[in-house]
Amino acid sequence: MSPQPFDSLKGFAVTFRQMFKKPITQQYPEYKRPVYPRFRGRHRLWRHENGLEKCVGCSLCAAACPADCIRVVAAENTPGNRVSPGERYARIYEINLSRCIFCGYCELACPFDAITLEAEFEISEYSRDDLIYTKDMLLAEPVKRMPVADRDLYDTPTPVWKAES
Amino acid sequence: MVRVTIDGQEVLAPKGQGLVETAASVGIEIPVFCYEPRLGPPVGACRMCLCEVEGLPKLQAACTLTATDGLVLRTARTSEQAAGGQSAILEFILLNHPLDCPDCDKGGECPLQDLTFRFGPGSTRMQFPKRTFDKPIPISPLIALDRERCILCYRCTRFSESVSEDGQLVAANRGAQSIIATFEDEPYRAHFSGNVLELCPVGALTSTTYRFRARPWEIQNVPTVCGLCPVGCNVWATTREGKVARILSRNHPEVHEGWLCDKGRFAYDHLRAEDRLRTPLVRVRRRGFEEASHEAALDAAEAGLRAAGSSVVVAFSGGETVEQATALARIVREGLGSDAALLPDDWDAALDAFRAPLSAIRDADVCLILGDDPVVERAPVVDLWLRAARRAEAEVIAVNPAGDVQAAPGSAAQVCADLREGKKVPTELRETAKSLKSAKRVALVWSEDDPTGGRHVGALANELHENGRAEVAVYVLPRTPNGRGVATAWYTVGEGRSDPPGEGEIGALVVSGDEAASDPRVADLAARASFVLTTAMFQSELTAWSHVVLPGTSYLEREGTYVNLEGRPQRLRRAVVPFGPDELEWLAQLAERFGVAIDPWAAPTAAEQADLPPADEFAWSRPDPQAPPGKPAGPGLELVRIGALFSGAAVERIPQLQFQRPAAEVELAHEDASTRGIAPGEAVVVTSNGTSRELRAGLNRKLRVGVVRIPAEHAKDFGDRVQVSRLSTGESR
Amino acid sequence: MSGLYDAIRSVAARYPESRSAILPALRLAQQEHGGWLPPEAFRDVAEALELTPAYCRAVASFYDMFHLEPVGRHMVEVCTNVSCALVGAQQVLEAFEGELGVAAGETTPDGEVTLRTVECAGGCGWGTVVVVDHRYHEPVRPEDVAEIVRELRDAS
Repeated sequence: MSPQPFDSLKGFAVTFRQMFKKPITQQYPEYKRPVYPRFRGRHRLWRHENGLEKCVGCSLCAAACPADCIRVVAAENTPGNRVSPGERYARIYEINLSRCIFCGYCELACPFDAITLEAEFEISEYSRDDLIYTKDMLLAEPVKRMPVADRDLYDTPTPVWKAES
Repeated sequence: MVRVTIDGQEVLAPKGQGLVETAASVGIEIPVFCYEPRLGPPVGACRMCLCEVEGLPKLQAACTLTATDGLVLRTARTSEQAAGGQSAILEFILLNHPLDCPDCDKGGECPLQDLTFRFGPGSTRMQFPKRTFDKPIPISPLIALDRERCILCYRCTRFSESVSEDGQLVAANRGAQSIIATFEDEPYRAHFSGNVLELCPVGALTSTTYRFRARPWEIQNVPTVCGLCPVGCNVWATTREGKVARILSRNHPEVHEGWLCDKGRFAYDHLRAEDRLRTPLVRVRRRGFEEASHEAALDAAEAGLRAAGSSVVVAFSGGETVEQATALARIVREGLGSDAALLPDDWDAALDAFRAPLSAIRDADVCLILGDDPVVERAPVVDLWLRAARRAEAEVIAVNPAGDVQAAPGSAAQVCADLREGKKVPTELRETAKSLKSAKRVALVWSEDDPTGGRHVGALANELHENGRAEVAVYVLPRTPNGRGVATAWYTVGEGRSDPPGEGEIGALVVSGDEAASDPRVADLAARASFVLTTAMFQSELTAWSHVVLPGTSYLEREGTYVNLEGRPQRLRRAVVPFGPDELEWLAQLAERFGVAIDPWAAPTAAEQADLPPADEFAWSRPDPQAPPGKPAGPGLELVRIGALFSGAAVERIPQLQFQRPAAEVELAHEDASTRGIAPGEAVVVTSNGTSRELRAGLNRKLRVGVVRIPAEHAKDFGDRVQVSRLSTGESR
Repeated sequence: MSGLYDAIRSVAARYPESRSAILPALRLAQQEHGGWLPPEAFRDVAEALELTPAYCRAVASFYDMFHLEPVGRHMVEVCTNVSCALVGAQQVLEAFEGELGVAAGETTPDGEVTLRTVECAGGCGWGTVVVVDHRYHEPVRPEDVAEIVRELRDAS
């Protein structure tokens, strides 16, 4: 006799047991699960504490990018327009997020820790053009675009490494 | 041949060959920074090439050694001592080198980066603050100097001292305090200053026009040919995102040995000048010009040309490709039935008998320079070859108003005749004649406009060859980049040479290019023409008298063939795509309407060979030309106009090149100045033909008495003779 | 300025190549310009020798005996090369600085004395060597400095 009915019953038992457990449905998008420390979400460009941009426009991220989605056009800092600490700064810094594969190589390549991949992952848009992120967008805090019940409780998740350190 | 052992490998090398080349011939690399054979003998300044030589107790700088029999060399590959030495040298060089590779324009194409990566230590033991300087220091509007990055290899100063011989970039101070500097705050103003950018093995000297514009992994390099002077230097056009970002040299050892003049290197940005014509313009009565569609412009051009019948004159600018010139010549000669052309340069094909690569100048025993124009202003790189010849102990004799033999202005043809006849040689030419007679290899350089197409100097060359049994090379320097090619194209298409445009009304005038538009002779013709069709890159007062203006393109936007002053056909490659159809496409469309079939692209032709075609058998068969009579003497001083290299439509549109443009200066002989009581630098009034202009006086101790030299752009409306006097404002020194 | 031009030309005539005369020419120019070489001096030398001012300045900046800045009437030169440094040249120099009230490379406010360090003056056996107006004092110890300065002040 084949073991077939017993095996099926075993399976049903597993399913049946779940009915008495508490469901773990996540109320996404109102509630977002914390992401893991090395999660690679949307890029962020950073500033020094004195307000200058960390990025000097060296294009190493563009060189490292396997998807060729970063475009950097550099220019020279002048006394009247000082953007970054060095001689050069990124006049244009664009990431085409529709091409980005979120590999994080740009972060590795960056000699100044100017670019990091952060926790934000809600980056869908209605138009592809809107997926080209400019320098201003990358320098700013992520836009909280989801209507949520309680902003403090539910909005853009804090990464674990930030919450616990 | 001698036998050298490198890393256990036996190499046969010619005696005296540098060890760097000898090792390279068997695929062994000896890393170097300062070593550059084009700069003259090695100096061993950077010590990067340290190698172990058997029998010598210490590491040796391999770049200063030459192949000798039995030499046993061990490079870093096989010798631990050498590897340690090279690594230590790199650590030492990097002591004061800032860690700003992400900022530095050289990053990614930097020999110091590459060699450190391969031969250097992974870390430094330096714990003290690094030496700092102000940076960047603009040593000229074109070049930024970063002294922190400088590793004192002395390549740039060696170039300045012993290649271009301008002596302006020097190493000041001593030892650890040495810095690269110019005199006081003066800019590095020299025709070839840009070459130090390419020589610098680190990011110490960077170009202000390329500064932060691209990184090496973001660019494409297009191999093409410079189209700004008749030398035809081979270049890389570096493009990024569809724009030319810089020009680098592409070493052609027979043409320019890898050196470029500043015009060729920095004038590329005129492609993006604001006043560039982008759409065709058609004259509308009373309202001036109006933008027109391509079709409408062609219709207007066709109508104008048809109305003119065969009374058409075409003015070439000498910057056209051979294909373009051929197309235009066919439209005019075949389609319209006119044989009237204004050619910028004439060219006698018989001169091919004395054809030689430019590098032959360096091998000559005697170089004779004829003509009033300074060679460096007409064909800059030829001047470098002449300097190389002088360094190689050749006798370089300039016969011109400011030369070694101070000939009268405009007397080059007479000098040729005097030297040719051999008898009754004027006293001042006697030495020259003697040198020419005893020379085995002679280079003759003709540096002024010659309506006979080089017959005078050709006849002299023939004489030297026939009677002196010398190998003779003749270089007639055309005024325009492709003057030779355009003239040849014109002659090939139709029968005979060009009918000179006669007096009276002209049906239509076709002006091809900006240089033609700025020619005063063309302005004369335009005044008499009832229809003017112009192709120009820029809108200016020069296109004002046109009826139809078609937007032109630059040499960086075309495919085609240029023939340089040697007669070498070279291929132009399109580095960037122009915004509209280029001239060849226009011409093809226009030609169709006149029943002439022209390919709208420059097909690769048999002429497309980088090698110089061999000279024909000696076939000089021209009758001896008559030298034109000398100009009659008159009151005042004789004026020589200098067509400066840094002038013209392209240079005018580059802000960084403005400091290179000729100063408003009149060059006076020392004696003429002192009889007039003029001190150097003083403001003087120059009067001629009823025009007077205030210029600064410059003294030249080598200038012939009774002659003044003024850059052409400051000598407009002057006659052949000028009066020079002190500014009579009463302020006396 | 034609006096200097002619003087340099006549010196240059003694050499096979005129540029070889650069050191004597710079010396002449330095005499002409009151003990130092202002930018005009380099232009004059350059014109006379058919060189460039930049080259002349580079040569002058290499040698210790050419001054690129105005100097005082008297010159105190302290050797700080290895041999002298080993026997306390630094202390001697500091003593001079204290005594004269100026740092090395400077001239006293009254324009009398210039204090400077030089490369080896050639008296390595008797360090520290101090050269005062081309006269050698050797060996000099910090305690001798006051005496030297007093002599110098008395002389002027």
